[in-house]
Amino acid sequence: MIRSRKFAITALAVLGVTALAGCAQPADTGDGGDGDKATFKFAVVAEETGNYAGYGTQLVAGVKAAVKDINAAGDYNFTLEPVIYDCQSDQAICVQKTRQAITSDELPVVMGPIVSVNIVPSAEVTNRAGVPHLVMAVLPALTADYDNTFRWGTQNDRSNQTVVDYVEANLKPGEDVAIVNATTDFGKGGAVIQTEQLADIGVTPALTIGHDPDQADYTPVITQLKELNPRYVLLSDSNPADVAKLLRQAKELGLESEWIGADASGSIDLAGAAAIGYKTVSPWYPTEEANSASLAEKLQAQGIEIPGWIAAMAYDATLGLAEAVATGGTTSEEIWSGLEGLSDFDGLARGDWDFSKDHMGLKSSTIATWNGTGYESVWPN
Amino acid sequence: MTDTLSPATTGATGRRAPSAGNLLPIIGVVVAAVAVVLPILVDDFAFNYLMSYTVITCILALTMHLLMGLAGVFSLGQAAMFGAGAYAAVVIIGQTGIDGTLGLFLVAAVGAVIGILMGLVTLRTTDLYLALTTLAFGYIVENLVRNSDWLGGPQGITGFDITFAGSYLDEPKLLYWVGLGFLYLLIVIIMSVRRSKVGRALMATRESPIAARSIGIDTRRYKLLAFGVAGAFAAVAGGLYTAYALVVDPSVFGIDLTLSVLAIAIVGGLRSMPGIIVVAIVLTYFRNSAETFGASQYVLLIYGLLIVLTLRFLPQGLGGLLTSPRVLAATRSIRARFHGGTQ
Repeated sequence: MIRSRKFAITALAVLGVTALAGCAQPADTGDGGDGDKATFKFAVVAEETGNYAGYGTQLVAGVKAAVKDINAAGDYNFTLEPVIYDCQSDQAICVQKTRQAITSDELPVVMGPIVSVNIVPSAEVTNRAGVPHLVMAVLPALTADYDNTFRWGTQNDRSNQTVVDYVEANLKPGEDVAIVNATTDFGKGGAVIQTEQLADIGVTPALTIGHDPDQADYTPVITQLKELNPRYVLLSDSNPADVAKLLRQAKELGLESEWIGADASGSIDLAGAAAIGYKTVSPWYPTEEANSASLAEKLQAQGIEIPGWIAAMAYDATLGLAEAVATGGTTSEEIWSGLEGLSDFDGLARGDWDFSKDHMGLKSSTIATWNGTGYESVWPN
Repeated sequence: MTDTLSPATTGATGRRAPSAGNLLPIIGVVVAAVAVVLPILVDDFAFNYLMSYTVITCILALTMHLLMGLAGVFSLGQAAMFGAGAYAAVVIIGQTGIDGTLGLFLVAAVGAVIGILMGLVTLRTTDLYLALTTLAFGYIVENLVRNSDWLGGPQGITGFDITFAGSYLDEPKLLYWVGLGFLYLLIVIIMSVRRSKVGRALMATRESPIAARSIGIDTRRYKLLAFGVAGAFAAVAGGLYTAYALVVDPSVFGIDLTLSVLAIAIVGGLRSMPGIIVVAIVLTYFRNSAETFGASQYVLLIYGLLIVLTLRFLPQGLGGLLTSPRVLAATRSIRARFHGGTQ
């Protein structure tokens, strides 16, 4: 009987805790609205903590900076209020928070999360609900498979094309190209696209090396590269720590090749001096140019030490969302329509946003070199 | 509910614990019934999904209880079985169109085979080595899937529907009820096994494999059985997870999942089924609502602290408290006061 009693007590405790779960508080809200105007709330699901916090905090900073500017300018007859959900870089929580945003909290549009493994299930949720979804992830399948997604950034294949264009313009006869990729969706997908695009310009990679994520020692990779000594190493890896480890170990082992890779948030910081000369492909850089410097300042005011492209894209996405709400309306359908109406829309990060033909806002990317203190734009010339 | 081979005696007197009569088992059944109607009482879409995820976590955590708490097999390969079940569900139910009423049992069969295979490969080792080989088994399965174009490679599979009895399992109430059904089935199996010859053999194997073998118990066979049953239910949990997440990718094999469930099992008490269920519910809710408490950046720290504090002060976990002599003595004392000094 004592077992039965214990079971009953435990079951009661279970029920109590489950009931407590029903009393969950609403999610954290961002900047407040103006009392005289209607407030438009939208969901931002972000990896603010956990493994991908480097990305999520950039997203939130970009949104908050834009909301602050939009509300201060007062150009619209509403104020914006982001409802921010921290999904802790966990797929299950990202899905849950997205569901909470569009069902329990009845928000008409969602932005984020960033990382493919989190954004895809979130997009699946919003797609089934017919809710427009603003995304920054580079995975081409996202906008291809989910017609409710609007890409505020440059997708993988277009960024890779930018890299291949740069290689074509600079590679001299007798010089080689190697590809190093993580065995993730981002890494493998990028390597395949780069191989195809290099083939189009008549270049066959001298070496393609895949590596599993989170390795401690990349000496075998660097050793193979040193044997070939290629002019360029095209890196497809979105894990900041892995990018930093590769750059550091390449430097230590004396590899002289030029690395060109994605702008993995935080990798420059982690790589330290080894990042000098690292070329990254990205839709935006914090450079000396007026708009860029101004945006970087706004993002830094939100607590981001080195603003990255995700924060910049989030800033522009929020500007675009406000415009879509102003021209379309506040329901999901109206916002969807308003977003599709954005053509030649000028953000602060980029001035050529266009969603009128497809849902991929940008057509090209840019390449810049890290010089130890800042970025120097190198492509397009 | 805490497993032991010792007779159910308690306290310094050695007398049997006080009986609460026949009412309490009925309360247990009522609570279980209330859990069934909970989604109707709290009619919130997102909350029902959270409850579904909690039930999935409970199933997975109880497979750890079965394997580690009951059979004494220290396995870190739960994610391999869970992930295999997730992919199996997508292929069997989502792609070939077999209904979940049959499909989930086929998924369980796949999980059982994976579990037994894992057991066959790893049971030549023990203790830490066994843990590491089961962990390695998980990595191998993940790598196979990650490099298999047929299974979507690193990007995984999207755009499928998991059905059950002709209805889509993306309806959270249905997902919750199906999950609850499997959870109850697993609870019944564990309770039945514990009282059976198989359970006694498993516990004897756990306490002393050499002694168990000396009295004719085929320890390897019983451990394989535990691997098979744990694999089957972990796979069902994985299958249900695909209906929850709507996608499946190699992250389902991640070590994070195994460690989260291990934390639940340790804090709840590896040998205590109720303890594990309570902690699974509390920690799943806490993890999902951490930002409400302003604690999302401290989640892993809190998990770590809970494990350290539990291992230091409650080696049997929270569930172990239920059989603690002090707690039972206190309970008797309270009962005595209520009954005018008599027990």
